[in-house]
Amino acid sequence: MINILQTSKKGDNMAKAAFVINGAENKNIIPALVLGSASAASGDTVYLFFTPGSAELLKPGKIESLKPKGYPEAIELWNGIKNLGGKFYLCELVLDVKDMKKEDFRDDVELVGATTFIAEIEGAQTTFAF
Amino acid sequence: MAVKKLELLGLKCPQPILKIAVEAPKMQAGDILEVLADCESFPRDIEAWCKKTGKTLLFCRDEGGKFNAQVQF
Repeated sequence: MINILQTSKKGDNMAKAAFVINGAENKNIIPALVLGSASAASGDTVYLFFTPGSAELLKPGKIESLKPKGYPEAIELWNGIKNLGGKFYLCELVLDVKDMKKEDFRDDVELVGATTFIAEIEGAQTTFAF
Repeated sequence: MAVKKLELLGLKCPQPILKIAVEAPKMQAGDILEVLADCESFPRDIEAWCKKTGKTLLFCRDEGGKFNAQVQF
């Protein structure tokens, strides 16, 4: 199930857009990348926060392998967000929840605590969870 | 004032706008970016992008399934 948590507008053109990815299936990551890249292209600062349930997506090479029929390649969208200043955060609880190490993940993802993410997206005008 | 051309045929939403956004910082005020794209949503997307980012959409023409647009920075 996809939940739209909140959408609203503010007066100026710069805004924050936050996306939470809760699972490791295409239905979790592809819409986040499509909407996130469109948001970044429109000048918004984009934050993608991956919960432990989506950690498999962040193993090296996984995003590169996602080429779902009819969609742009995931890595194209990922790199677009990255090149436009987007942030990719992974919940640090993943280390204990999944018995994984920081080195198990791609190097363009930062391990952060939930408090950091919440602080950084303060004032976000658009938030989605997939 | 420079005119730069960008061919984005075959790219699907939101890639054309993403490519334009990546190109945008290289453009000077007054420069024109001419874009050729065939993504179905491109005419509405480029109009919305120009409105949001404060660029001027000079035109977006349907040329038989391909869209030719000019954006002034």
